[in-house]
Amino acid sequence: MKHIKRNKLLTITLLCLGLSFIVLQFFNEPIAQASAKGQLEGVPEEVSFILERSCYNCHSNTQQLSFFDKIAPISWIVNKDIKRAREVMNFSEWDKLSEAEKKGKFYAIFNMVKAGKMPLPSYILTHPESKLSKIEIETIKQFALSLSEKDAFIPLNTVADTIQTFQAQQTFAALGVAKAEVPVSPNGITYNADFKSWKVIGMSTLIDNSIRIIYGNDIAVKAIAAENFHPWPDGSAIAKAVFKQTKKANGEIVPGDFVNMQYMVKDKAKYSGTEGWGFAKFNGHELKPTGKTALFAQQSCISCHRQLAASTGFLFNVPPKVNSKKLIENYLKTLQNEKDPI
Amino acid sequence: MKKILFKLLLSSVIFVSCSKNVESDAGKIRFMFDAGDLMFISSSFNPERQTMSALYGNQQAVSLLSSSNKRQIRSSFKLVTYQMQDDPNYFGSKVNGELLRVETLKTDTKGNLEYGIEFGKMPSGQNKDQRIANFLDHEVVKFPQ
Repeated sequence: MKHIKRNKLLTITLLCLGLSFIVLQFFNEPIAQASAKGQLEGVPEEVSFILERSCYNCHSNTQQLSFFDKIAPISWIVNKDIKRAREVMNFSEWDKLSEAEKKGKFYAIFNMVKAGKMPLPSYILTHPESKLSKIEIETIKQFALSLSEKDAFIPLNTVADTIQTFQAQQTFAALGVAKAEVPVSPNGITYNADFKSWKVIGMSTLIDNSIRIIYGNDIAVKAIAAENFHPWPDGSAIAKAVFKQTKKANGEIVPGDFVNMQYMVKDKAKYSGTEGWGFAKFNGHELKPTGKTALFAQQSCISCHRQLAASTGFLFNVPPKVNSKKLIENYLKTLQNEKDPI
Repeated sequence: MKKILFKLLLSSVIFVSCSKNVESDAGKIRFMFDAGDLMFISSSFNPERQTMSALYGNQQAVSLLSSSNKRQIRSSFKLVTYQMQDDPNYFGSKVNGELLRVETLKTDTKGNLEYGIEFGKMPSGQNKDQRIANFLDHEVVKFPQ
């Protein structure tokens, strides 16, 4: 009697589950698709082929989803991943990117695949054909490098032009010409000239021929000194000034034309969608803010920071641990002796 | 029991091999140069020597570099040079690495230039005059107003 009752219960449960599964399919909205785009402009065939095989299933408008990918509730997860992937990098919209953006994207792509963050390990489990070989990663690397070779160092006279521009701006200011309002990023972060009084926490260059100076405010500097990255304290702010490289006669490379000013501001509550960091970028001498909506950082910035800089609280520019403690102690001792002569 | 032990052993091996490698930065620290009252003037890097430098100075130092008058009195500079190294987090990027030297340049009340080394050694093949020329060859980095 007990056995019959148990079987009945099992049948009802299975029926309910089956019915629920069928009902779920009515809430299964397929993700929008578009026709294949063909080879990416300016990208060699072998690189295009790798991207198409390994990345397009999420990072384009053309998905070749398996039967299981289309069944709810799996499809919900798949569609969410695709939407997020398209926001960060959509190869179907490659032509809309500027040359500088294309170069930046390729460096990001290479860094992601080199670090084994892309394709997502969970995706490779179900799509083993998407896994990249060492040779394929090297092919992407060589193409990324070739993008930089096209650029030469900007001629020295560009600096003179820049100085003249600044002199002209100062002249306007002296004449009492109204100064433009402080630029504001779509997420509310304003251009903050105070960074000039912050501490320089590092310098960097990129093969894309830029040279960068990174500043940190007091809260950020204290956080770095205390290794307090998980999480960074609210109020931490980092500013990065980006310039083109200029080669001097003695072979040294110095900052040339101003490119942009980038900020990362920590506010856990306000920027919860981007690991608590608010991003802002102000471009060119006009300091034109990047982004059309407050969500721009979710679509372009946080992806790389999340995948490649998690160990330092999603910030790339933390000074690396490369100085021996003894060396720095010696330096500080020398400094102290000079201040307090016997 | 044997099977359980084997599985436990296998999973621990996988866990250990997947976890982050023990960093080779034992005994190494992060360093941020404290310029005190001096302000940041400019940066540079030398691809041949694989070094990266930051120049700091007081207001008089900024004036000295900005004008043709190189006899500006009471100017004070510090040129901090690091080894240039690959960014461990991002291919294609180079960052300042180990501290190599801190050089100073000052002008006295008569505008005489005085060069010194606060830390490290003068770069090989260079003399005092060449180092002073290197200081004075910098241009103040320009930001939008």
